[in-house]
Amino acid sequence: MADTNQTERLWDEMHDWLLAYIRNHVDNTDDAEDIYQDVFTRVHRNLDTLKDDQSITAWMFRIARNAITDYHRGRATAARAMIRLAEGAPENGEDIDESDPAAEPEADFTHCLKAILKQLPPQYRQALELTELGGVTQTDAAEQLGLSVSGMKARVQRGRSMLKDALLDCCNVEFDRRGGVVDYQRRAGRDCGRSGCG
Amino acid sequence: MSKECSQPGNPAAKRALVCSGIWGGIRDADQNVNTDGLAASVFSSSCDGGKGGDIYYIGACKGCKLTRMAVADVVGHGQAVSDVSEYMYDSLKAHICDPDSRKILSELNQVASKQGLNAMTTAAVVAYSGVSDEVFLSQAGHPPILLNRKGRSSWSAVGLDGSSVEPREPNVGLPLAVAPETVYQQQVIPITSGDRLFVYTDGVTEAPNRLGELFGTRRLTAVLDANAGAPLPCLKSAVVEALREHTGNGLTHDDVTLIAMEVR
Repeated sequence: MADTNQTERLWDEMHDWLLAYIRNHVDNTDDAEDIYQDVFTRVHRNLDTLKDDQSITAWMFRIARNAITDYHRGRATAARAMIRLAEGAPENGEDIDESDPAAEPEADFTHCLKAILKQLPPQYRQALELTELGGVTQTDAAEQLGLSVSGMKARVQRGRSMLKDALLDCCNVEFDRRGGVVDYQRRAGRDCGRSGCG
Repeated sequence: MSKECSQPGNPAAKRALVCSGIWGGIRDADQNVNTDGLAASVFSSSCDGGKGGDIYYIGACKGCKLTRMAVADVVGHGQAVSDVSEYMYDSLKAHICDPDSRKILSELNQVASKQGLNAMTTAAVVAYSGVSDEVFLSQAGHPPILLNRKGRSSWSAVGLDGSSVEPREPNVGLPLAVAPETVYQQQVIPITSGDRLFVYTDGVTEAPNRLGELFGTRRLTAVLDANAGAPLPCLKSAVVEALREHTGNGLTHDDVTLIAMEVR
């Protein structure tokens, strides 16, 4: 069992530089904070696996680098799913290429994402539909909507964050090491839209 | 693409011959550099034009047949980069004939630690000794150095334990300015004429496409594998072209620096 005091001490010692490192590799400050929390959780969970001759600081740094990689993979997976959605991906698993083992969960995942996207507040849904689905740059989208570029970026980031939170609240999503959707299940008691996941 | 595989927009890439001294800095570059022991092809592009957060140096000590190459990526910009670049130059100059690269990282770490987190820097230092036919590799939180043995088509990351490692979780040490007491490791590996090394900043592997999918180590090694036998400038250009294709833009996501080297 990991020593809580030990973990907290490490947390204090590494907070500033580790967060600065993560922020340098992630555009969104809120996401950087989330990754930092994730790193802390992973460290706490795996502290017992640390080898005696291993530098704990270097080990935590490696965990942070992996968490950053996982974050980018997860975002790319969600973006791929949204593009499939925009291109008319099959709903309810219809017309899925059964020779592709990844196709079915990813197509269903897209269906799940579509239902959740509909539940977002209109301004955030519109921001994501324009930029993520429509391929419009954030600068052009800002002009279309009469917003500042920074305002548009904030809206897209907030929309992504809300979409992610809603998705994870609705479903347990399992990713492979490349960020592909391996499996998902609707959480018990969750209404994920008219035809949500699971 | 020209015979020298120069980058579009920079067709006037020049060859520089470094017999002794240190070449490099923080400015954009697309250049080939030869020393007594190594041939190198360098590409460096800052995302905000001209002077970015990446630093590169190649130094040679003719008398002792030592060539050293250093690449660094500073978290901050502006003065922080200039400071680290200056310290790095001074340290490289002070140790120009000493193959031990740990001293350079340790000295830099001491100085950077006093500057604060704006000076947090990842760095890789490679020294090639033409006397012992060895390379001395040291890293400070920097992306893994890639190695290609002469005649082989595959590149692999070299961990600080000397083994070829999977891209995930290689030991690359801690960045500079994190902990003043950090002891940096060094790996010494035998090397022969025709062997190649590839050193880069994270602007290469973290270049995103429009989905946010990163270029990654796998795509990088795939491009390197496909061009393993190509002349160094062409190898470099193939990577840069693949990056441009992946990002769909002019490498505006981050500073990008890469150096392909071959033992002569």
